[in-house]
Order: sequence, then C-alpha cells, then structure tokens
Amino acid sequence: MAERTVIPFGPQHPVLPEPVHLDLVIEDERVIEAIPQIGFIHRGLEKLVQKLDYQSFVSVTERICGICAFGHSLGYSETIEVLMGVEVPPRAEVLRVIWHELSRIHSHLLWLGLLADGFGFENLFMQCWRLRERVLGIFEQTTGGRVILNACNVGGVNRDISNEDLRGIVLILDAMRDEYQVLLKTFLKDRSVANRLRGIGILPKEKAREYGVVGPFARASGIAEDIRSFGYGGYGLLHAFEPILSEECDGYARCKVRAEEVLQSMDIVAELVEKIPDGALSAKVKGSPAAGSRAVSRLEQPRGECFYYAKGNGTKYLERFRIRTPSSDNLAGMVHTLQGCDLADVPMNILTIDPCVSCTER
Amino acid sequence: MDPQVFRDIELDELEGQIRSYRERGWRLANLCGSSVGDKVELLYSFSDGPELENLRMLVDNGQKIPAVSPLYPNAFVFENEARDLYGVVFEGGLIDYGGRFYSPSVPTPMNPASLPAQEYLASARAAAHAEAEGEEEAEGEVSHG
Repeated sequence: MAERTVIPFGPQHPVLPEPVHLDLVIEDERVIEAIPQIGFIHRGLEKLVQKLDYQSFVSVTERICGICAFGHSLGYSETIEVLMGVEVPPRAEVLRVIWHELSRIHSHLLWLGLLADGFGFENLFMQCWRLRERVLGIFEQTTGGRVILNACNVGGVNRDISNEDLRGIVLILDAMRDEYQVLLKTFLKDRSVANRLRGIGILPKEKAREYGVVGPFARASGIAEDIRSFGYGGYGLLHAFEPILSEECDGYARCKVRAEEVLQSMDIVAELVEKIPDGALSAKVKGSPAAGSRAVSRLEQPRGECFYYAKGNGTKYLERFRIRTPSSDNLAGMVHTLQGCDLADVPMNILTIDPCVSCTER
Repeated sequence: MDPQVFRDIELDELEGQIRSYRERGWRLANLCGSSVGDKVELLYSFSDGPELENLRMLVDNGQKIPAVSPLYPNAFVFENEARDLYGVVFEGGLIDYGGRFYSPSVPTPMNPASLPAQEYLASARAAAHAEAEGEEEAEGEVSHG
C-alpha cells in the first residue's frame, strides 16, 4: 500500500496570489484529502460598523477587496437602502450597473491573465492585462480612482458620467472587443491551454448543488443561477439576460464561462448606455436605520453571489453588518474538487475557482 | 430587491426546518451571528433562485447548537466563523477548527458578553496607557538633561 504524506500548500505559493494554506494528504501523487486553513488576513472589518456611521462605512466596504471594490460598496449601499426604504434615482441605478459591469470585465481579465500565467503562457497573461488596463483607464477617467472608485453612496452615486463620455466608453469597449476575440480564441481553442484545463477539478452538477457553490464556479457545472437575471436595479432595463453556462464541469468550463462573461458585460454596458435615463444622481437620505430593522440583499459579484445583511438599532451606527462573500461559499466545493486530483494539478485547480481570501476573511 | 422574509424559530425546530429546506432543494445562502443583549442571534438564510427566506433563532451564550454542515457542506466556513467571533459552539460540524479558523487576537471579539474579550481590551488599553505615560516621562528626562 502506498504511503500517505501530508504536503503543505501555501499560504505563499508562486501560482496562488491569495493567502490560503492547505494540508494536502497525498498518496502516490494523488490528493486524498485537503484541509484548508485561512486566518492570515482577518481584519475585523464587520466590527467597524459599530464605530463608523452608516454613510462613512461605504468607504470601508470598498476596501474589503481590491478587485470587487465597487461591488462591495454597491452591495452595502443597496442593503442600507432597503433597510431605510430609500428609492434610488433611475440614472444612478444604471450608472451603478455600468461601473459594476466594468469591474466584472476588469476582474475577469485579471483572472484570465493570472490563469495564463499559471500555466506558463506569459504572452497571453500580458495581453489580458494590457486590455484590462483600458478598463482601469475608464475608471480613472470617470472617478479619478483605478481601484477604489468612491463612486457609490447610500442613496445613489457620487458623480455622473456625461452621455457623451458614456458613448466614448462604448467605443473603447468596441475596440477592445475585437482584440479580445483573439484572446478568447486562444483560451478556448489552443491545445496547450486545453491540455492544462480539461478534466481538471471536475464538479458535477449534483455535487455543485450539494456544496452550494455560486458564480462562474456553479455556472460551469450547469447551474443557471445569476442574480443579474432577477432584474434588480438597473438590470431591470435589459431587454433580456441569460446566464452563461457550461455542462463540462471542469477547469476548462470555468475558464470558458468567465471568458464569455467578459463579452456579455460589454453588451450590458452598451445596452444600458443606449437606455440610460436623465435625472438625479442621489436621493436624500435622512435619519438612521430604525431599531430592530433588518434587511438582506444579494449582488452578483465577479466571483458569484454575495450576500449582505444589515441590522439597525435606531442610531447612525449599525448593530450588525454581515457580508457572505462568494469565495467563502465556494470553499467547500473547492476542497471537494481537490480530492482525487494529481498533486501537479492542484495549483491550476485552485486558480480556476479563484478563491478571494481577502473577501472571505474581511 | 430581494424578498425580506424573516421567521423566528426555536432551537428544537432547527433540525426539522433545515432538513425541510434541503429536501426541497433550497441552498444555504448564509449563516451568521449577531448580538441581542447578552444572547446571540443566529440567522440562517436559504435561497431558491429569486426566493429568499431567513430564519432567526436566539440562543444563550455558550449553548451548543447542532451543526448544519453535514447537510450543507458550505456551512463549515460560517460555523467556524461564528465560533471564532461569537463563541457559538456547533456540534457535529464537518470541520471544527476549535476557535482558530480566523485566529482573532481577541477571543470572540463580536460577543459583547464575552469576558475574555472585555478582559483583553481592558488589559490592552492599560498597556497602551502605561506605554504612553512611559514615553512622556522619557521625553521629560531628555528635555531636563
């Protein structure tokens, strides 16, 4: 019988930019069991709601994660708006979606680049990040920031984008689209990419349901769940929205879903720029969340469904604010896909799931 | 906007409710703690597409709660988080890190009734105060010299 060995993986690893440690129980180069350990970057951000008023806390939520920064400020603001019964002006709702979908493009391009780097395709990595740079340029042009945008507040948005500038953004995305098609073809058709991704980390549909995974991880296993399809906020203006799915359930499927979602986000931005209404940017928010009030809300972040919960106590400080990030929901599914995986495939497997430990620990 | 459905349940109803959601194919979207006086409120949220329902349950500090992670494996993260931050102990969970999942420097920092957290904060404040006084004295000595 082969001898079992425990191999430590992370928290520092050349392929994995996130501080997660795994104890890999190995038998004949095959993973039998994986036990995750985090706790390297817990910052206690949820506790800060007791010290910062609900308006100021928006800036903290943007600092939860450097990739889905705008999304967290949006999810938080939407939750407080439900808690206090605030109606957001239609133009602000559409601007929020535009920034959020641009964030998704930037997040997916960043991830596709890291994936290419992970399997040693340096040029592909460079091309993905080169395109991503243009999205960061749009952020800088429209908000002054590249990572922390400070564009969202409770009640609406802090700044406008003129209709002319919005049309300019669509032109930038149209130019990107042609170049991106070349990269997309490489990701989906190149044999060397397929060799590293096909058959890696298979999570069948029924297991994906059992483990409750979300986002591209779930959609790559054939689960048609995407919060955007419910038509909340600015998404309600879309003519139609269909989640991008794959039935292949492996690392290649996860790459395919994300890669195609970049084009989908470009389409959403273009459609909303055509339909954006004129009007106010923010509603006036007065008072404090009532004692005993509570609200939940969900948002489709680039990595999947993010769950927000807020509880008021009659003061301007919240009693409790909770963020259940997509990565914390996907951790159990990730560990499951590692069982039976070759040791050499562990980094690629984890990379295709893209856990964000910074989000998970907050 | 997501539906805002909140229902109160008692501890003896928990297992039946969880099993019912599982059998109907609902997903566990969230499990978290919050403080209500010296008690802890646990919120279990379940979703099925656009449907969303939340169960609230008040438990005493230190009371043992049956884990849901055997039925919903994704809950192992939430259970260990509630253990670290609020000191809620879940029995029969998939992986129990024994309060060392996030490894907070203060034990159960989100639980206001937690004596270790209060003692730690009091000692940390006293140490910071003593250090500040020491620095002031040292500065005074230098200026006199």
